[in-house]
Amino acid sequence: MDWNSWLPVFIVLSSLLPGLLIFSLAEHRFALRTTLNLGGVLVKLLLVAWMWQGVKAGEDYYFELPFLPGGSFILHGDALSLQFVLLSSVLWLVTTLYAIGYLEGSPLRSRFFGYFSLCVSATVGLALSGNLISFVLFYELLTLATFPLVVHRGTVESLRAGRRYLAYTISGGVVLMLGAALLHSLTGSPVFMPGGYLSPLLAEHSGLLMLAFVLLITGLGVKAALLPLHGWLPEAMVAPAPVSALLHAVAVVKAGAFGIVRVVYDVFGVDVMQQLDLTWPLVMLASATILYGSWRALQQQDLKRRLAYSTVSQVSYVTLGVAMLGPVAAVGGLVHLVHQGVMKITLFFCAGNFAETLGIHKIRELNGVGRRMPLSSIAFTLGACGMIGLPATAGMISKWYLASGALDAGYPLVLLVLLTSSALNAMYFLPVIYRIWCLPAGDWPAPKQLSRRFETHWMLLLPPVITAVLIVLMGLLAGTDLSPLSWSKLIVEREFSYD
Amino acid sequence: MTELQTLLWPGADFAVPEGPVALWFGFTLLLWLCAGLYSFSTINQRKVLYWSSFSLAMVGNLLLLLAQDVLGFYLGFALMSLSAYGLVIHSGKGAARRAGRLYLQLAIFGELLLFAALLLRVDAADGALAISDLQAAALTPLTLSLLLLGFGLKAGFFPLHIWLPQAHPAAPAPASAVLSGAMIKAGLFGLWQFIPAGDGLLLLWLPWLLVLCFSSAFFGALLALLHRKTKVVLAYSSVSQMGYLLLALVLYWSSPADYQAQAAWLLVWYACHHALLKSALFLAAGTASSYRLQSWHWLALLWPLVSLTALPLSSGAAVKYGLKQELGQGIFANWSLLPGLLTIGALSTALLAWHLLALLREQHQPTKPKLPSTASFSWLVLVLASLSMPWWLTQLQPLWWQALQPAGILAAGWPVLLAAGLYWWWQHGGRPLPASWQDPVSPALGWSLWLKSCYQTQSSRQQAWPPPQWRKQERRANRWLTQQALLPLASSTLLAVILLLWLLS
Repeated sequence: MDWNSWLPVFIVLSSLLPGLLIFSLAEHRFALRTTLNLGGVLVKLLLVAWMWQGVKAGEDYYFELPFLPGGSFILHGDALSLQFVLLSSVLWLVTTLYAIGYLEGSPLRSRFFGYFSLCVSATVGLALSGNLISFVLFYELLTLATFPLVVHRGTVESLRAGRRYLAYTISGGVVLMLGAALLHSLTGSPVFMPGGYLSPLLAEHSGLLMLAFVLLITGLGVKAALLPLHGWLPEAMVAPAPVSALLHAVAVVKAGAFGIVRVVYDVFGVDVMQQLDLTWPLVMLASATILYGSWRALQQQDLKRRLAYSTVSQVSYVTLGVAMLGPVAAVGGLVHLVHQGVMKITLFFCAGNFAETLGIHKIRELNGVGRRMPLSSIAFTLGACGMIGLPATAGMISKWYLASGALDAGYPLVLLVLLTSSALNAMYFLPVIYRIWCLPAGDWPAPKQLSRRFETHWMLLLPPVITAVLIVLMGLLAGTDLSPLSWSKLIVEREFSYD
Repeated sequence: MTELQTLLWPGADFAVPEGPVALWFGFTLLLWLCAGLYSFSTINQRKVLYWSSFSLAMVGNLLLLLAQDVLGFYLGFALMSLSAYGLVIHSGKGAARRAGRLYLQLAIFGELLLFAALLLRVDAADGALAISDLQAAALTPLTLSLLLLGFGLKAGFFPLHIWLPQAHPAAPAPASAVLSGAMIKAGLFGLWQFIPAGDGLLLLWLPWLLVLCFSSAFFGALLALLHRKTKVVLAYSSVSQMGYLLLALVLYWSSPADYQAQAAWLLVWYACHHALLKSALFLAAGTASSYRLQSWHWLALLWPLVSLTALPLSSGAAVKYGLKQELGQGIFANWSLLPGLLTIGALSTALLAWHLLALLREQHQPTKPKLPSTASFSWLVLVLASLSMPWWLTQLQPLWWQALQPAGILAAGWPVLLAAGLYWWWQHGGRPLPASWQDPVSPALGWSLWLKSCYQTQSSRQQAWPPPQWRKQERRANRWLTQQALLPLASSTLLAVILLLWLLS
């Protein structure tokens, strides 16, 4: 048996199998469930690390199973897929830890963790899919796996949000499938390749290619929360904090953004994109989303809603970086895929901690939290500084590369968009930080003593601390070989050197 | 050092400073240490806030002086600017919070402008990240104005000073000392490092910058006379002195190549001279407002004023003499108005000094017994460093000697004496100023409040836009899309595409 070709399959299975086993567990089997959860994560991390060093050395991991005429089911580990796989497995580890602490003592945990693992399997599968057909398959799977998580609490509000989520994403999935089917009928679904595989069709079918592009981007744009299709995201923040964290940082919105990267670079390719003149509409759309999301975030009174609108804005940085088609901008977009994930997950963890420990949901209730929960507050502050793009955080690195990429690719106005967005980010994050640190403690709605030694339960505290440290490390040590920046440069090197 | 790049961010490079930069680094470090020592025994409230902001700002300030690359410099600069916010609002009073808000708003704004400026500069230099590599790239009007604005907002010369007279007096005395002594100099340092001397566009803009220098010098000194709080007067004096420092920088930019090194030294001497005396004065003002001054304290208070007015024997005399000399040599040699302007500047500075002295004597109302000895010591160190500057800076001595000649003594002396007379006449003989002129409120606070209402949660301005109808439409569209339209829409598109494909094949 060829281990190299089975490795991607094992990576997907390492969370799928524990997930299926967890479904069958009784509610009180806490120890076994936790072991399965964490064991799955650790196995996955080991496998991913193995693949990481292999891909770095130029190894190819390719698995193929006959599926449709002209399009097999392909799992393929390349540099780009590893970026997303690494992000989701590392953040899955911290989120699992967080979720165990968060849901302690609440009902239906087996169901929750089962779907939780399914969701990550779908994300990893989506990252590893080697062609459009497999991608669509996992994309739909992801929708189905996340729905039970969104409605987990079962309240009227969360059911409504879940309905809205489902309506948006299922329709998005249909549109995506249309696009994929259209391309499949034209040329089949070959494996993703740098530079795309559509250039032979350019002369004959340029209209159809454009239609396919619009369909694909619309379908992906639903999950990536591009401007008119973002409505579900702020609603879905009623989900429990670990789910919001996962939704916003790793699984759903990132799946959309990652899909856009795939479609632009590996299906259409830079040349076709340029010849069809598809770049600037995407740049415009991403810029509009960035500004609109930041502006709406400014008007939210609810902490998680504000973070949700901030996601709408920040995820479009990825789309923006990719759409500009320049190598430097691409580095910015790809590195922001990771950076935004780590920063936003920190912010959601902290928002969850404030809600769990002190019952805080509204921004105006945050007064003086810094004294009571210093570590969570420091983590929140670092995450927010990263979102603004202040130096010494990961956000600064993405912003720098995106902005210099914009100049490099000939979009000087994008610089203005980025600066405006930074200013808006400062306007909606700094007052929150001011409340946390500089105002005297207010009347917190429901203070609880979750731990005798720490400010809150240690399982809730450790994940944001880890990710906050990561934010600073990724900002300060961006030049090292292990940094997301170096990996993004590697991806771009491979994606842009096809001819 | 290439190793740092593979450890830290791309392009990261730090070096031990040499030449003029080393002196700059030295006086900055001395200021921070002395201010730290002074704070050690005088700051008794909100210590965590104070010391975390203080140490972060110090690290940032030193880092930016050591950085050899753009990102490292930007890191230090932003760290310094943003952490200083904690120093400004330390007292927690209303005035401090208002000043802090204005400070932070402008700091963030400056940060963004600076980001754009640095980015455009790096782009013009084909992606080179070392500061020395940026020197070859030509400036454009956009980058030059972004650099001037971004750094100018920190350096605080007119008309970018609006935060300075609010923020510096609001902070505790040792924090004001470093704010006025070290941090605003960092803005100037940035201008010096990032704007290449001899650039064609820069030379065209120099006359306008010269206007800026002198307006800053006069504006600061005149506004100071209207105020009656010692620390506000000192802050306006900083605005005025930043005008002279900008003048030294303009002279550096305009000087011919063989004279450039000397011009750079003069700039750093001036920065050092002003940093030492202004921090000593801020410590003095802070002390006088709460502690009982002993007699030697009055001497320690007087010397920086002597140096400020550039009387002979002081470092001020030497650097002012150097400035005058340089003005006569560069491209501005034919501008016969300039020496006269400098003399009027000296007169206004002297007026400011008398005003300050009068206020200090008048407002010396001790509430606490005696300044702790560590605080006295650090204050004394600053005064002595300022006093002995011509001795430990041997290169400064020729200028210092020349200023000691009879002509120099006369030139430096008469404005001070005339100012004394004028000030006496103004206080005792002349008509008093209308009450509305005294302690004018800066319009900048109003602008800051307006900006705040744009992002304040639940402010009326935020509620008014977007209009309620729009929000209703948005909700309705969301409902319609999710409940009725999407599925039929999607299925009919599916049908249409299948038909289309069938027709095509």
